[in-house]
Amino acid sequence: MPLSHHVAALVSGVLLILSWSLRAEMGTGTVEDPVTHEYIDNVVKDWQEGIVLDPNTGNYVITYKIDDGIFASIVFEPATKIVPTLSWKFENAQDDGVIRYRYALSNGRESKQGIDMFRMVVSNVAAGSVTNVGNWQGHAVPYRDSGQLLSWSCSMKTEVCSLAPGGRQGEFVADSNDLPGIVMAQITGDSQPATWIGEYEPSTPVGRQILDLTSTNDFVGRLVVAPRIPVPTPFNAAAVLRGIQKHVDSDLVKLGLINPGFAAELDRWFQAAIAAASGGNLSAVRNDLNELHRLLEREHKGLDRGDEEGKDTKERDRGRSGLIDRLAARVLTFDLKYVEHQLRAN
Amino acid sequence: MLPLNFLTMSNPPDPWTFQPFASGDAALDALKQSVIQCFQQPYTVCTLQNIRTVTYFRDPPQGISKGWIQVSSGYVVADSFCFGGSQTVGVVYEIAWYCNNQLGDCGQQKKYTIKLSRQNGLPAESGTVLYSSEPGQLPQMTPELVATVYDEHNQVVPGVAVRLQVNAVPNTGGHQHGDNTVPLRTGALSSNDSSATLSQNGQVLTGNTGSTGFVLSYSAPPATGDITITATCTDSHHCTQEGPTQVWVGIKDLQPLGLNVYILIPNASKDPGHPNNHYLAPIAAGVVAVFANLYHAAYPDSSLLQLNDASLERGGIFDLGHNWKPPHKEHCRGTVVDIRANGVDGALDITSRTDPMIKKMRQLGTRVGAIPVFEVPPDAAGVRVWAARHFHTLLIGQEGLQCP
Repeated sequence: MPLSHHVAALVSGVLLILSWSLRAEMGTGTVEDPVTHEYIDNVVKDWQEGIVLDPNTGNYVITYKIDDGIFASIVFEPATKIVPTLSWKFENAQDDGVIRYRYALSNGRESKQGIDMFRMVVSNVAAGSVTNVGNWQGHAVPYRDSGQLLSWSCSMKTEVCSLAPGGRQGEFVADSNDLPGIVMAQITGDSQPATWIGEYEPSTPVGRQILDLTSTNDFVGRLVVAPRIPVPTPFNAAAVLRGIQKHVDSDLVKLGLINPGFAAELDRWFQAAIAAASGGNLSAVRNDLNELHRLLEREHKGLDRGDEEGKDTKERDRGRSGLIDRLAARVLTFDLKYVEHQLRAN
Repeated sequence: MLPLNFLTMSNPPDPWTFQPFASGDAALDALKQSVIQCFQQPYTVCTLQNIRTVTYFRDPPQGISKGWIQVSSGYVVADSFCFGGSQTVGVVYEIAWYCNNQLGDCGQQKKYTIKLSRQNGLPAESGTVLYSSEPGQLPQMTPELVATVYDEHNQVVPGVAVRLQVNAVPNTGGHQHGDNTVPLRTGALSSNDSSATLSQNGQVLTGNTGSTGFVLSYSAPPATGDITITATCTDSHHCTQEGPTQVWVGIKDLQPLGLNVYILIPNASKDPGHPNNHYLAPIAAGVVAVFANLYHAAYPDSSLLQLNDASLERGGIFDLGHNWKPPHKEHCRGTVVDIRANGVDGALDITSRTDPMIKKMRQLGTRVGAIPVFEVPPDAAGVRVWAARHFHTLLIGQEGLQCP
């Protein structure tokens, strides 16, 4: 499968079920009118669980079983009626190793919703460095058992605001000591949240589809460069190389930005470089890093010309060689050059 | 009833003194007490030195009279000899113990033990717990067990007929309610052994240990708690169970929510069957704490968020109806908490489906990785109960949603 298809599969995410093979079941329940959004209780009929797209509105009618003989049918407006572009740029902010990450967000004119939030999982950002821009508030909070969730959301005192279709908002900034990697930013439109009647059963096939549609994949994804590879203080080349290696083997492979075979080829040199760095053999480290550069340059020319900015749109040309996405190759080149620079400096 | 032990004392040893009793009941009580004391040490040869004499020993004392006493292991039959032509004094000179093998330890019978162990060779988790299982875990996901019978030299005894029964320990797993005998509470046994026979909805399993032991499996119920597997021998081998007997059913490492900028709605008064309802996985507990802090920072003048049901102390089915069945479908792994939104006692007050606070709550959730879903639960008839509206808040992603 081409890399673009992997990415497209990840980005689109939303599953559409126009028909369902389950049998209808007689029961009682509540129905939300798709037009007026009024609720009608005590509806007795044959219910059929499933998800149906209303092509006129882009909304879904979700019918689910709550308990034996009890059903509900509600309207779900996805937060994906947007065509966003997320631009990024990173630069060495100072000589102390801090990298400044800048983002700008555009909402396509064809969007049906404003954009109210974008977020990404990063390794770490400097406390207090996340900017607030107008009504857009930046936050970085601990995420799961490692890393942080970096987000900007448009919010006023009593209500949510959004970036209107055709609009652009820049100056989203965060500083970090950590090196860049590539993550999938999640961008959401300003949809009206659904009111659920009771709970559906998430472990059934229908339940899983509902969960995917309404929770797991209710966003538009864009690839973005973000702090992803921890840099310890004092600098430790082996640790940083392990971080880059992990990013390649897990993140980039999962995102479909690198061919697993090519990742394995890179991995051999990462292992050698890590072993050499752990043993203090700096010349061997440089040789291994040169080999990594050579492999990346073999796929994409001119990676080290220093243009550390870009953007991800719906139609972005990812410059694939078939083995690694150009953006991924550029970011890896930056990271490897950073390690070389630190080795020279130390 | 088997006559296993028979002692006679035709010639009571000297010195032998007579001590008349005031009544036959008093004499019987004395005899019963002596006999029980005697048989509490099954390997001690019983003597009659402490029985003395009795009066009105059961039957009308014309010459030899005979009486009996039921003890834990069977029946004690005693003969007394009345002398002097009187009904007032006599001596017990013979006693027989008819030991019922079904009732207890017959003393001189050979002793066996039956033990449960894990077939995969892994040791038991503790002196009482064989292993831990997540609620609703199927037999193929759990270690197989082996019931093995040993003699007093710890040698395996082959070919013993055995019986295994599962029971739920009441008031465990956070459930202080309900019928603890139903399969939804106890789980069920199973076995592929050709000798196996299931009964009582899988709660009782019988079979034969063959040459190496009787292999069985256990399916944990959707509810959490301690489950005891009782093993007995059902043939002439009189065995007692030793070793760990329990399966710990639950989700590991859930923790009670601590103090923070939220209010925990106590459950003990409104649902005594589930007095503790605020258990979460550590990561989820961290997420809800950050969420509550962001809310408080955004609305410092408002009441703190009010947290209602999360999970029980070991997760599993949170059966609001005390029937071991859901409707709380996702409150089983410590990854979901309900935030009140019904306006009661300072709770958030969502006034309509378009209330701006619904979006604000969702936005707060996106900042911490949580998904607050506005929910109006229905009653048993399927009609919406607006007064029970709340935010059903997913604190961790899909991985936390797999309920039994």
